[in-house]
This record gives sequence, structure tokens and C-alpha cells, in this order.
Amino acid sequence: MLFGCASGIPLGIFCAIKRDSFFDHILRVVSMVGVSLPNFWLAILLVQLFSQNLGWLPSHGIGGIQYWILPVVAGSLAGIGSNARMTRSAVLETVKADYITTARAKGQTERKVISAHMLPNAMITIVSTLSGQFANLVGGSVVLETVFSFPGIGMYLMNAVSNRDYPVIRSCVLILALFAAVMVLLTDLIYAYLDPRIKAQYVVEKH
Amino acid sequence: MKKILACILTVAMMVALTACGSGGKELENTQQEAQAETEEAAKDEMKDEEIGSDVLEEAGNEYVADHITIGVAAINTLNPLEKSVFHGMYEVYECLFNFDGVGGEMYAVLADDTKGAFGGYDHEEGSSDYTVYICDNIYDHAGNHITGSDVAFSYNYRNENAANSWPAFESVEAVDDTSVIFHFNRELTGVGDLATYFYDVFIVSEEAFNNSESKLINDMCGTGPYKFVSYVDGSNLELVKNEDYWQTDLSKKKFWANANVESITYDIIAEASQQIIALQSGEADLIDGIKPTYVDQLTADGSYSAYGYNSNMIMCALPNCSSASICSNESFRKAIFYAIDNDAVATAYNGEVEVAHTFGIDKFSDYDESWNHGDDYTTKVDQGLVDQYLQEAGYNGEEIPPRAH
Repeated sequence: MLFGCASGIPLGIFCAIKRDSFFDHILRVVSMVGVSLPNFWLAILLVQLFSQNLGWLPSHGIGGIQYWILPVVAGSLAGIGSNARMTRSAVLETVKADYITTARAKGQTERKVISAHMLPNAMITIVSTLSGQFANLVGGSVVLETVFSFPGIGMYLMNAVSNRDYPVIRSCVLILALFAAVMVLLTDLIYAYLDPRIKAQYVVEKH
Repeated sequence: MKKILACILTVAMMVALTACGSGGKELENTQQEAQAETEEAAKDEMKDEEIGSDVLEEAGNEYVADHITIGVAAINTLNPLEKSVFHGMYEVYECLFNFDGVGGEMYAVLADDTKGAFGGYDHEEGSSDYTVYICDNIYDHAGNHITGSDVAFSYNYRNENAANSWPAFESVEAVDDTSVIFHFNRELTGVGDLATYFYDVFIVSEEAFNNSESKLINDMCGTGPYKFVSYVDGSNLELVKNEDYWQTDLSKKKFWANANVESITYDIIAEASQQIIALQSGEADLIDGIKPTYVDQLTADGSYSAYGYNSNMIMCALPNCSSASICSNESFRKAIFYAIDNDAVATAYNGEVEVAHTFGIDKFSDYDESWNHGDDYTTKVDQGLVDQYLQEAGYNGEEIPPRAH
């Protein structure tokens, strides 16, 4: 999730700033591919390339940092693509806004315009997609952990399903649902933090 | 723009296909080179440091490694008192008796075959009690002396807690340190009765069981040739050779108790394709239970060898005869069984299986060869009878999706 945000959001901003450039076209196509590829298929391709053919990374299991690289990349590529596309369109919506023109007219640096004016206003849209991504990531981890033999809750759930271990299945589903609910709650709280208008709706006026 | 997009998609597809398909000759060459380098390095190391057989024993073109990694699809449980198909359990735990492969006789493991009229046990005809004698020099990996009370504990605990019940079993009573009496509710005269009870329970020390925080679910303490080192649920199990293995009589020590390698790591690799990759990348030395469909692919050029072993295991379809099931109707059941083509099923298994004509198999000492002849509804395919039984069952042609467990 962190990897997806740390990579996808800057890429989206870059695409928006360099709109219709060669890099913008490339990144749009690549992000589309990233969103479209099933993560388990991508995982197998990555394993074949980096583990079997090149021998650079372990194909499965746990251990050092090298064991995390392929699962993280396979699990986050869709998030990177999604974040990049969403950030790009959200930033583009703010580019032509009056307050951006005003900021530039005031002589602020382009970096300041992006970080202080464009991005905060675009973040609402981006944050909205993150909670949905978290649910996808949790669902996808069930498959990815099985592919990479990564002993997490996803693999535990899959084994429980195979063994018809109903108490474990119920517990795992409950925990995952709880995580998703907490993420939705956090998203709503972040909305209020990012947008004073939303926060204002919940502030009780003191008389 | 469309041209650029088409070019990018083409490149992406080429990269994907290259990743999928380039594991052929280049990989083999790389592996052969890597293997040659490894062997050369091992030989040099032996020469330089004069390391003996404890590291690498050369025997012609073969060598014995001091550590192997075995890939397995799953380790469902380490609980010795729960039925498990994980082969690593048999490295750590032992039963009273065992069987010699296909068509073999029952032989004593923890039981003392020098005592008793039947090589480890006594039984009087007509009686439902069986007296089993165990060796008096059995110690587990924690140093606990295994006695009759431990055998009684293992059996009685298993009987009280296991999901599948033993219809004929009542209890086991310890007579003294080296003998126990099995109480059944009938004499064991059925096919496989002895196997069911004498070869189905790993014997554990009651003290080791009680001392284990997880009650031997996350750790292991048995009497076998390997002992437990560590276990990460869903990831791996590490075993090391038990230098103090209790059975020192070489005439009684079976090949599986030799402990040829110093340590074994069982790596859990759930995905079948990942098992192959682990084998090809050298992360696993052996895959236990590889899918038959991969065997030809791996062994085609002689780079890998597949060890197949015969099994007496019978796979069969047992209909759900409860009142809620459509199979409660006998005619319908017969229609189903007359429609199943066992020869076609055997063909679908790449000829790895053969059609069985009886539940009784030559693993059992009282097996009768005549059982393996003749056809009945379980082996015969007859479309005419299928139609006849469906008609008798009142089948109206509705689609019935099969559900299998």
C-alpha cells in the first residue's frame, strides 16, 4: 500500500504536469497495464523472470528483505497504476482552477503551487481510491500469499478453506472486514482533515 | 498515438512471452553450469580441507549432501495424535508397527517382535483383547523413556479427541513398562483391522506432551530418526538428525530410519508451478508429491529424476446416503456407479493408477487374491443398466450438479 502510494502519486503528478508529453503517454499506458494485469499472473511472470531465469530473487518463502520484493511489486503494481491515473486526473482538474492562476500570478514557485495548492485539493479524490485499494489488496493477498508461500492471514485463510476449518474462516473474515472498516473510517477522518468544508459540517457551534 | 500504443503493447507482450518461455535451453545450460560449478567446488573443498563423509560422500556419480530442502504443498498439522498425510511426521514420530510397502507384512517398530506369538503381540482366538509388547530401550528426543503408559496415553487421547472415530476400539491399558492390552468390542477379523489400529497412531511421551505449551501442535517430540528444530506455520519446518536414535540394532533398523542427511528443511510451497520453479532454481532439492503432469516435462532431458512408488491406496467414490441426498435412492446410486468408467479415470491419471476390484488390498495380511477378479456395479460400465436404474429411480431429467468432498 505504501509502495503503491509512494510510487503512484508522484508518477501521477509528473504525468499531469507533463501532460501530453511522451512520458505522459508511456506512463498512462503502463499504468493501464498495471491496473489490468491480474496480480497472480504478474506474480508468476515476475518469479519466472527474476527467480528462475535471472536467479536474482527467491521465488517463495520468508527471510530477509529480498523475500519481500516480488510479493510487494506484484501486489502493488495495480495500486501504482490506479494511483497514478487517479492522481493525474485529479491534479489536472485543479490545474485550470482560479486559485492556481492566482497562486502563479502572486509569483509563487511552481513547486509551491503544486505542493501547497494543487495537491491538497486533489487529495480528496486520491484518498477516496485508497480505501477501495486496501480492500482489493486484502483480497489479492489471499492469492499472492499462496503463490509466494508467504505465511500471512491470506494463506492461513486459504488453508482453512481447503481444510473446511470454519472457525478459522470466520475469524479471518471478521478480522479482514474489521481492517476494511477501519480503513473506511480513517478515510472519512482524512477527508475532514483535508477539506475544511467537510470538517465544518461536524463542528458544533458554541453559543 | 495509435501506432505508439500498438508498439508499446507489442513490446509488452514480447516481454511477457519472453519471461514465460525463455526458461528452456538457456536455463538448462545455466543450471548444468551451476551444478557443475557446485560439484567442482565441493570436490575442491574436500581436497583442500580433507572434509570427510560428514559433508559430502562421493559414490560414483552420486553424492550425499548434509542438508536437503524438500518442497511440500502443505503441512496441515504437526499434531501427532491427529491423522496427517505429511511425510515429515514419519521422520520424527513412530508407531507400534509398520508395513513393508506394497504387499508387505506388518513388522514391529516400537513393538518388540521378540515377544508374543505374532511378532510383537499376543492374541487368543475368540478374544477381543490384544496384548502388545514394546521395546524397553525407547527414548524420545527429550530423553523421556517411552513405556506402556505412554502407549496407552497416545491411543486413549487420540480416541477421545480425533475427529474420525474407531468403531471397534474401546481402550488401551498399560500392564507394565513394556506391555499394554488393547480392548476392542470385537475380535479384529476384518480386512485391515490390524492396520487400522496398530499403524495409525504415533506414540508420544505423556510427559513431553504435557510439557509442550502447544500440546505438540507447534513443536514436535517423538522417537524417530530426526528431531525437531523449528517450525514457522505456513512457511517451513526444520529437522536435524537424531544422534541418539534409540534403535541401535542394525538388523531391525529399517532403511527409512538411516537418517542419511544431517538436516532437512521442509519448505511449504503451495503453488504447483512455484514448486517446479523452486526445483529449477535450486531452492528445493526435492519436491514431495509433485503433480504427475509435470513429471514428463522435468525428466525429459534427464536433468531431473522422479521417484515414483507404488501405493496400495484406494481412491473411491462413496455416495452420501443420508435422507437429504438424492443418493439415498439405491437405484439412483447404482445408475451413477454403472456410469463411471474406471478405465477412463485410470487413463486420466496418466496410467499412474490401476482399476481396483475390491476394497481389500494386498497390503493386508489376510488379503485373498480372488477378490481382485470379477465385475460388479463398482467396476462395470453399462449404459443400458444406467438407463434402467434411472427409470426405476424416477429420474425426471433435471440437471443434478455433483458435489464432492
